[in-house]
Amino acid sequence: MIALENVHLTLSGREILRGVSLAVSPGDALVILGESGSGKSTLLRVILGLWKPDAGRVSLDGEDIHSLSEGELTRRRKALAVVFQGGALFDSLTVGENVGYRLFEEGVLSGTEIENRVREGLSAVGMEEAIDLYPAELSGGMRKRAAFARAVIGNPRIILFDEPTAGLDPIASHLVNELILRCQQSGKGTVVVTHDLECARRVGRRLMLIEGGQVVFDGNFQELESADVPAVRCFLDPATCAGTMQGVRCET
Amino acid sequence: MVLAAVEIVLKRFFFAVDGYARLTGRTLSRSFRPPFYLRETVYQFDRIGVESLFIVVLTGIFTGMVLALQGVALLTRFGATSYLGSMIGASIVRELGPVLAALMLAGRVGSSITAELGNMAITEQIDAYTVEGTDVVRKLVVPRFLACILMLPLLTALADGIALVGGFLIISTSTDLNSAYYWRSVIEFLNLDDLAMGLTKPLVFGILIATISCHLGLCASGGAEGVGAAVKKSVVLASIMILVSDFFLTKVFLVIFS
Repeated sequence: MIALENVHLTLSGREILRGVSLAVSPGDALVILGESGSGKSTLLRVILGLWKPDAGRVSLDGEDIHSLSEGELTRRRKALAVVFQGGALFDSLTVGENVGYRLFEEGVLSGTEIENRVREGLSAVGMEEAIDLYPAELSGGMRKRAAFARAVIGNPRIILFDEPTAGLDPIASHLVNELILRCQQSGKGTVVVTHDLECARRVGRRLMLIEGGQVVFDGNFQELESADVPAVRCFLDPATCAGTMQGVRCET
Repeated sequence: MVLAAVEIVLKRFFFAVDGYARLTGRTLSRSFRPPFYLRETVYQFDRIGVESLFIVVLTGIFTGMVLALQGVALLTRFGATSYLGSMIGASIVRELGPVLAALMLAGRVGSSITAELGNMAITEQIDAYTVEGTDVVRKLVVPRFLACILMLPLLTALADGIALVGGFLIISTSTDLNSAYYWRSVIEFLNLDDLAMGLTKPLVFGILIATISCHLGLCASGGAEGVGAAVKKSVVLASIMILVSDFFLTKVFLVIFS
């Protein structure tokens, strides 16, 4: 289980996270909502232990991750996987090598076994024919799907998604949402960071809204829709936000 | 207001120095201890060493020829053309070979390392490596570091040899100095101290190029513009550090060998 307790983080003099607490276990389906720059992606990095908070505690299975040695943290982090916003596939490796990267690094399975697992993973996301292509030859949606296959292959307990549907057409978005749901059905925990309400509605059982680095809402989608919190109302219906568009003109 | 700005600048400076020192320490501690990424290391040897041959040969030959042209013009006035070989040999092996080869590599190799790692940083590939359980220093920095420190002395030795040939070409066509005398004068004047100086400097320059370019690449942020700024900073900083360290290394060597 991942748990954040009262986490604060300041970057370049700006307070990005202010007292954020959350907990995610295998089987959970958490969606973190928020507008751009609200601290969602930063939160993801803190959860992964890539950034150390100024205050508060980040724990993995009850143990503070920042008290662990580098090797121990790497070992324990195998319980987690992440699908980055742009896929973050390694440019110099083929899709197949990207997907099987973790298994190649571990060196436990034979080359043939790894190849079989890679083909299985790619066929699950409908990309078996792209095994020998390089990331530069893929579309945005294909990159996301390949990144998804890479995240799943190590059999993690919790998968984190950073803006999984950003920049995708409706069909590709639908496919990515389906893949997230499939993960949940197999008992994995998912944490999805997004500002896409449709994605949140489909894949989230619990939603949190972050505004200015603080959690301003925590509940399910029905509660979100009926919440009487100004930040929530503004997020759901930006047109009602006073002052948002004041002074914005089309002509130059 | 001014004090606050100074404080911010100083904080950033010390933060950068701290980051650089940490990366250098981690690189050194992992460079001579397995496991190694052999395929990646061999690839970097080829990219940094073999692919730089042309530029180093070109630098060497023209440096030697220019030095010979200047030497002929200057020493003819004093009737001291017999010293041409020793003058060219000492200048090339002690100073010009190591410094010019290193400056060329700082431009060609340093910029490409920073751009490559910078691009990986802004597209989250570095984070992805970390999450996948890979030691980024071992995987990305150590192969480039080893290639720089081992290939730069070899490239410098090659540049030195080519420069001496370049000098010979000019002298044999523009003076009546006996060519055998030129080579004898080069060899007789050069001693072990010169060779030690000429091969130790590239080792230090290689460390500087690799660590500076890797550090700035891994710290790049702010999209394509940020990577561009990091590349510019990397070339400028590495070049300056090469020149500054050359001065201090020369001082140290002169004290040791005196």
